[in-house]
Amino acid sequence: MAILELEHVSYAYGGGASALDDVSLAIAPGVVGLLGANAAGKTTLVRIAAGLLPPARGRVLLDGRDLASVGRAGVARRVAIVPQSASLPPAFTVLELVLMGRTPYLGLLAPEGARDLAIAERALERVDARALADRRLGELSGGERQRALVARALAQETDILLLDEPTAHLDLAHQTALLDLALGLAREQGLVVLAALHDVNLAAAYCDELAFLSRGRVIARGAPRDVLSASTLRDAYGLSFALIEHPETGRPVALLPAPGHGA
Amino acid sequence: MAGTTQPVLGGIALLVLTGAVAATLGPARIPLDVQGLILASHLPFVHVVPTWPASYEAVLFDIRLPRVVLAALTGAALAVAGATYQGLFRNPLADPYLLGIASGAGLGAVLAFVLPFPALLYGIGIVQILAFVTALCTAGLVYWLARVGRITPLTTLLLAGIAIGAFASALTAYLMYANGEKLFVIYSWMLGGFNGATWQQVAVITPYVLVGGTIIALSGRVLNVLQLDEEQAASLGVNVERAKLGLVAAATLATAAAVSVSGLIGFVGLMVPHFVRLLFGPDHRRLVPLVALFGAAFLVAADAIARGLLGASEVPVGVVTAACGAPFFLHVLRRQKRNVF
Repeated sequence: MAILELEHVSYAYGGGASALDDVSLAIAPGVVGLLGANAAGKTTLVRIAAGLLPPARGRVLLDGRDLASVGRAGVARRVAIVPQSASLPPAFTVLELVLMGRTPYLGLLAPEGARDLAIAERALERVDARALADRRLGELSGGERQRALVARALAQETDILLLDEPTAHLDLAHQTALLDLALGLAREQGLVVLAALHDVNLAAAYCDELAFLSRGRVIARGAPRDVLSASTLRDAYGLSFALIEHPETGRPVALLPAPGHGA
Repeated sequence: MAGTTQPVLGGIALLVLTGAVAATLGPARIPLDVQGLILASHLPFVHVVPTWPASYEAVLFDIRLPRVVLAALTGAALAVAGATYQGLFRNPLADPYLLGIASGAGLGAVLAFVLPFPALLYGIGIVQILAFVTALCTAGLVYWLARVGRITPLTTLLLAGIAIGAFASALTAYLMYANGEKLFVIYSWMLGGFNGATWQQVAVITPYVLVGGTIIALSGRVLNVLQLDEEQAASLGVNVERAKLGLVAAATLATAAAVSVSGLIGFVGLMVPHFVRLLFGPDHRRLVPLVALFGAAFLVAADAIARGLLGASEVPVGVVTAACGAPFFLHVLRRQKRNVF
């Protein structure tokens, strides 16, 4: 069972205010939703967890081993990330992009084998994008790009999956499908999924745990039912939500304040 | 990678054919069949009765063939370096001279022309040596200046290249101005050409072109992944800084070697990669070998035109590459208006 741990991690961009301030977070297999306002530090946390940004202080541990001591390819075999804004080369096809997910497993000259192709096609299937395989990346809609990127991450066959606002460009059906997929991977294959999300209710409905960030600090962490409260939401977003219970799942649902009464 | 072998075989055939035709041209026309017989007569166990003037052999082996081979090596080196920089910088305007190599080599060459050096050092032309060394030093200086901590941001690299290039060009311009009587030789060198090519020049640059080209050819997959942004490439397991350094070093080595023997030939390194990309798509594993072959064939053809066009007097090959290549490229560009980069 993979465990991803952030230990007293701090980070500041270019000497400015700290983006992350002494964050400690241990994540076991399951889906953890990372919530918080803009600039709360969600993306910074995800990038540090992926080993793409060295923490200024503290460290990231993967099964107890410091991520900084694992080589790039080694990290890429354990941790996959779906970035928030990714530039994609327009002339490559979706299948070629997904096959790039096999990079950490391939030698210098070894061409992708039948197994890699099967893994890539299965990944495309899982995000409902099999039909996109031969389309060029420059011709895709925002949602199709997003699914292609998720498929690439799946093709990496990692046991840690980091999603930075993965539902941003997706319609409602594909949003729920993606989180169902994440949940399924966590249940069936024991994946650790950490997803930075904006939609509190989507997070509450799907995540095993929620972690709220505010100004670079974790202000609440736990099961949705335990942490989703009006006061936490006010601390995180500066808004007064009303909370009700979902009639079927019993999970909390946050209701937006009436227009003009947000703060 | 499906369908790489056929285009590569096609490229090899094109290069051999272009080279053979180019070798027939010159004051003494040596027809293709005679060339074949001359070559065959030098093979072991083959006996051919010579039916050609004895001078043909000297012309073919000492003048035509080294020139064709040198042009091919230079074309391959420049085109592959151009493809590498375009891929690395994700910039369609990148060319082999991006990091100030041209200005650096130009400065070295001009120094060799104006300072009282011996013409040869260890049997190698001093112009060639200084051009090669200053080109390498310039690129190395640019890379070193562009480093920020442990990383080398591409934008900084680009700007450092432009700044150092401008500085070297300024020195070159002054040296040319102050040595007006040598303007013609200097300018001729800068425009580039293969007049007086020798086997020795071929032998001197081959190792550098081969080493640089091999490193780049082995990096096809990495170049593909680098078409994403650097952070994505890193998340897919690529050591981005190491890849950048290796690819820049390889492209620099090949370019500096080519420039040292041929001068500053433009257009090949910029357009040949685009042309091949238009025809065969963006996969660098296929692109790099094809770019080498097409670059070689293109420069051999351009050189043949350069020395045949105006009868006895030669046109600088750089003039031919641009004048012939640009319209042809535009034609291909307009016919296939799809996004290829």
